Amino acid sequence: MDFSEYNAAVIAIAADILSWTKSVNIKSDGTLEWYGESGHPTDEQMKAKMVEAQAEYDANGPKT
Amino acid sequence: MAHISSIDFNSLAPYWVSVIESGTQDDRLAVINHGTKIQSTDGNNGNHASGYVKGTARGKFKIQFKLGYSWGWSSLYAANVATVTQSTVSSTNAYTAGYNGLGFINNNSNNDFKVYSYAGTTSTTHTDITGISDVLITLWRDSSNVVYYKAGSNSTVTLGTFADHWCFYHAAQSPCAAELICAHNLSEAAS
Repeated sequence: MDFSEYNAAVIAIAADILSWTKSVNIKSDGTLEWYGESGHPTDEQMKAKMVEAQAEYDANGPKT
Repeated sequence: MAHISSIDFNSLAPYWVSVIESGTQDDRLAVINHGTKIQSTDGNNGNHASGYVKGTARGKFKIQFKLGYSWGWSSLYAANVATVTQSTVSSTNAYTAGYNGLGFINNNSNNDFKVYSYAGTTSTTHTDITGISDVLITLWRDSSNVVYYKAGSNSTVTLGTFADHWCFYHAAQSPCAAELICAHNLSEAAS
């Protein structure tokens, strides 16, 4: 699934909302990089949180 | 004084150059400690500062550094200079077909410290252990082009034989950091 339209910081927030606290990023092809970890959220779960994550990012910036 | 070889030019030195700050130039991205430490503190996957170690390495060299221990991957990569455009920084330069490279990455969110060597696009994992904090890593190449590294009091690890003309860089994922302790070429005796 292509996430290239999103800021990587928004991706990190979406993952955090889904209780994934490990590193995540966007690959050059738009898919998500989970760095070989298992048990991470699915693409569908991530997509479902992007609006919420974007709103959090717009209000407060990257998660610190 | 006559230079005894080309390694005297563009010699390695322990500070960051060609720094690229993404998205902001404020205090969340910086090169501090007299140019030896590059850091990004703009939150998870926030804006970040990447850059190159001053100089390049042909033949023998030594670099000592410490990687940050925070959510994002703190890194130091070695890549053949032919694969690099100085105006950009990418972790993928280290694994380019036809060249050899290295990757050292560390974070506390995955709690991993990993060391790779790359022969073209094929990677070999030499180390995959619990993340490290404030640990001195020494990387060096001997006169036979054998490359080694040692992290803290751990045993020396042989990474392989690589004759590449290397540059070294930090590809950032905020929050992260990389601190240079030393970086120098090691001269051959004049013949």
